[in-house]
Amino acid sequence: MLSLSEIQRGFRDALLAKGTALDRHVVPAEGIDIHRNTVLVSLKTALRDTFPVVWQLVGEGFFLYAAEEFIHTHPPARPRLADYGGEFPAFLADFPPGRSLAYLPDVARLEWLMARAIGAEDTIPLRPDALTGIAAGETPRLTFHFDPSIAYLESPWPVDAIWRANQPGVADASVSLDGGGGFFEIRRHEDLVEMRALTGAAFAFREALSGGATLETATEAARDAHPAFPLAEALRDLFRDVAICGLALAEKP
Amino acid sequence: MKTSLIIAGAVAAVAALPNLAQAAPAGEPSFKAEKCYGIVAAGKNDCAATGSHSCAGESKVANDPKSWVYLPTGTCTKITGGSLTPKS
Amino acid sequence: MQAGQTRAGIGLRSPHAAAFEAERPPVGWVEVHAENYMGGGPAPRMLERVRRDYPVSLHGVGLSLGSAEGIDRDHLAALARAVRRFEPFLVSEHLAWSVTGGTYLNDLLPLPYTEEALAVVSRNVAAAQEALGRKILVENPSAYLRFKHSPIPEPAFLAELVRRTGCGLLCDVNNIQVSASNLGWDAAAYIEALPAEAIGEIHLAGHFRDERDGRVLLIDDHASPVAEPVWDLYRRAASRFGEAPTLIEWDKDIPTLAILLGEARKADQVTAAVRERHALPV
Repeated sequence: MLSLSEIQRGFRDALLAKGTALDRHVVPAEGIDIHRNTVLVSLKTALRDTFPVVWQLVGEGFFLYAAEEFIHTHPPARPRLADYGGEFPAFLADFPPGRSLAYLPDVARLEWLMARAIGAEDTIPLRPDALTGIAAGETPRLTFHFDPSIAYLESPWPVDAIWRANQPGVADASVSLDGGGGFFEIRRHEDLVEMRALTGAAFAFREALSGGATLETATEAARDAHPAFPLAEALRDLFRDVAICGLALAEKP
Repeated sequence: MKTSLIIAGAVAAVAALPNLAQAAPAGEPSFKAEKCYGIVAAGKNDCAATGSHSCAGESKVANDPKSWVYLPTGTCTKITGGSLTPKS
Repeated sequence: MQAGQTRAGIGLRSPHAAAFEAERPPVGWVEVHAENYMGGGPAPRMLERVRRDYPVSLHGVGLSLGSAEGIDRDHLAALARAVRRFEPFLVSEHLAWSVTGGTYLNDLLPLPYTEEALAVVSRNVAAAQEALGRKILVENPSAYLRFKHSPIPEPAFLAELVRRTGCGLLCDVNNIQVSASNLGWDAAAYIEALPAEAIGEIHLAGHFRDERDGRVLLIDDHASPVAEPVWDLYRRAASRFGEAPTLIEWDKDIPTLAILLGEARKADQVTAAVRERHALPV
């Protein structure tokens, strides 16, 4: 007689690896196939819904092949399907049949960040006067909490143009990779997901700050990209873009 | 000027600005995508079910692996130039 | 209550969200899958607006009440936040499991009905009710297999779960039909064996009938109208479980709102007939 833990592990192996250890404990053993099918179909559907442009680019057969391989090696770890698929872009980058499509992983990253943005927690943006009263000497140690929908993506590929060319109703747009890539900010704003191209310096500044860097470190990162980086404007734009929802001071080094 | 002075000046200047929040982000976004949850009109449901849970089983059977296509057959043919080497 | 409003509720799915916002269709109440409304953004805001005009039921699909390793505390906390935000009149989950070894298998998987499983599910239901600060309803699953060692009949398992935890039950009449047909149970006897006073909600849905090699397999796919044998069983359930709110579930090939309303009205006719019969002098 198996314990409940053993039964549940046996079920997982049967569903994800076609293990047969459970077969002699259930009647009919084919009933397991119904559950395996439900798990595979529902997870493939979830991936298709999160990565519709990848689906468009590679076609149904290839997508389902990649999705099935991914599900077996990266089954969900969380009980919300909205959280499923974050490792799919990296999986595609290492997926031999997809090697000819070098831009595919970045398109998948873009779609993942969009899906994250739509369901990110709601926050209340700070106004610029939240900066009032911070002692001048402490300002280099300022850190910023960004709106949790905001994410940054740097790509050597024109992922924005590829995304647009693969939307429903766009008939025969073609995209040339020769135009190069860009620095992108993805976020939700008033229930819409938006992507904007940023300058390299603005991208360096915002990406560093959003990752928890101090204002001093982020400023240096931006200056590496553009020595005359206009800090006051960049800081103002963060508040104008309702991107900041919290402030803190890092520990003194 | 020392970086720390530039930073202090920038923070003071922004702190003194009138309330900017509620304004739209600057510049036109590359795109605006309406996603799901009934905001997209019926029929244009490219993302209508993103991460949607159901409590039902599947009666449609997953594709037979033998029928899979191992080569991309989608709109990647629309992507031209560059091929394998990224332009930076 | 609007004229022509149904007593039965319908499952609110994203293709109809816009219509609910624009038209406020005459539906008595709605149920949603809790997991689809746990984050931020437009979906939960839509539900907050719908909530102003309709009683809402939260139906969880990911809590995994049957997991031997216990329930996921983070997921339970997310469910508790959703309960505080939407103030549902009903909260329900399933007699099933989906999580083992930290892997989430996106299905409602079956349990053997043993003393060990009863202890596990009771502990998990009690933990859920404590974290949510309220009673939950536990739904009978659809079965495609049985465990060879499963000595407790499913209705008795559910009745004992009620006795141990004080939870209520969600009687899914379609699931009874599916399980009874697949495993050779007596569906009517199943309904008679459930503890009537614990039933807090009834589900109705369509199933798929797969016939091959002379064998019939029913799959609970929620992709079609409620089947005739399920309506027959519902008459029995409605007369035994009285005023428990009834829900029409439809999750795939989702039809127009008018068709869903038609199913809800059909359920109303059954409950109205039952009430009339019960009102007659003995």
